[in-house]
Amino acid sequence: MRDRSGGSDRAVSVTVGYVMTLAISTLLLSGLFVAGGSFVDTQRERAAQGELTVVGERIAADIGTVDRLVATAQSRENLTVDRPLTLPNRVSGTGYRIRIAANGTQGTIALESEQTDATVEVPFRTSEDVAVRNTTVDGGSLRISWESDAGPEGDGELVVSER
Amino acid sequence: MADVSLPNPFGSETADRDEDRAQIILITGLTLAVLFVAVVLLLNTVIYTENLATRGADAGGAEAIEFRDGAVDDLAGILHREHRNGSANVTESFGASAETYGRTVGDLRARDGVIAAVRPNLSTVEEGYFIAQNETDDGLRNMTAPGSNDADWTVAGNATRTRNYRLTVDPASLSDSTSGAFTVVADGRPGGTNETWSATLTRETDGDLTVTVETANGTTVETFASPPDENHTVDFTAGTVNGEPFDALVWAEWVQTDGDPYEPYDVRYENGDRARGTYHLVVDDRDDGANPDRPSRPYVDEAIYSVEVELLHRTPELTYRDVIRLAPGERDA
Repeated sequence: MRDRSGGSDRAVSVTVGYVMTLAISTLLLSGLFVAGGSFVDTQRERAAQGELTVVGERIAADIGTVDRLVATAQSRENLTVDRPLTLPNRVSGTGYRIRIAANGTQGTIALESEQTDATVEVPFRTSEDVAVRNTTVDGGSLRISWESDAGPEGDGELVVSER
Repeated sequence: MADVSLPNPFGSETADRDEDRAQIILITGLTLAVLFVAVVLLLNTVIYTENLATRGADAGGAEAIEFRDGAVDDLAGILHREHRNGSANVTESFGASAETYGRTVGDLRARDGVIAAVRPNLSTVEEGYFIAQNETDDGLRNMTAPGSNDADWTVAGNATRTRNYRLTVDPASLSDSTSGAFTVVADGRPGGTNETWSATLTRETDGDLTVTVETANGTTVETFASPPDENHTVDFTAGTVNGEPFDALVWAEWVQTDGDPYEPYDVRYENGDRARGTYHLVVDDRDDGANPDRPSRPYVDEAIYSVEVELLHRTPELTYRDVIRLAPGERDA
């Protein structure tokens, strides 16, 4: 190197060092960036999962309350039970849907977030002869009520609807 | 910054280059900061929802049920009192008492932020008769017929339903053996079920009470210990003796029908001279109707067999409205 004094490759190490510093720091920082981004994403999904569980359990609790009132009623024809339920419109910044599927005395409330992959199923039970209407509603405030003339046999049905 | 920097002898180019340095770190730092703020906001909403899980999760269903049961119990008490008082027009006086009760309950509940209403629907009253032993000064009397003192007599003929049938006897007056012992009989009429149901009360040597229930399906015998005040109480329609449940004691089993058509039967006492005590019952129908001369034995008065009551319990969380048929002390179907 010394022989070729005044050559064009003098002081190259500064440039190389600079480029390498740039490259390594870019690499490191983009690593951080990616890790941070996926961390946020995971947290978002977990948050949605947690919130949907809470929302689902609240719905299940209120279905239980209405069911208890219906089951202990003397006659269901004249019965009115109406439970307005205030729930968040969005979980983790996205909307969600609530699907209620019941079969006999057992059923599940399935909650699905619209954008994240979070899905939660909350099981519930009702008393003998208390029918629950299968339905899908958008997340948000609900009304859980007993409709005495609804149902397949017209002898009343527990209905979850939007309000 | 540029103002406080030393002037650069080589011109401004290098200074610019200095200021351009570390841009990647800056941008990434800023982005990460924004990301973390997003995470914080996200976790904040999680905290909010978790908080929602514990806040006011109970819609107040238990309060509504408690209100209903309480109102039914209280109205049953009011009804019984009206029967005992021998009000001239029992429907009217019950209506007035129930209205007062409803107003009081409404005021009380309003303090807790509840709209509560109790409204008896007097057009649904099913009339009946209240029959009771007309008690003497010491409270107990032979279970014999009024006037004639016949030992075997009909308490209520042509009844189809009976409720709140409670009988108290002094064990000392009871017979020791079932033959000739005091017996309560529900006798289905030939046009009705034509079955016979009976409950015989006998005394054990230590004063315990033995109840022999005879139905179309067989005979069941059970002995019950004396209560502290020594008088035995048999609740025929509730199926209890001294408060203890007696499963075989189902009032007028196979004699009284549970739905339309209600078949007629007679409520009779046999060997009424072998028991001293009191009793009261409400039947929905009776051959001779009410006796206008109240001091007669037994005391018979017009009564309400059943009435429908509308109940409302309303809070911001829950609206509950129901119509309850009030017929306290009907036998369990």
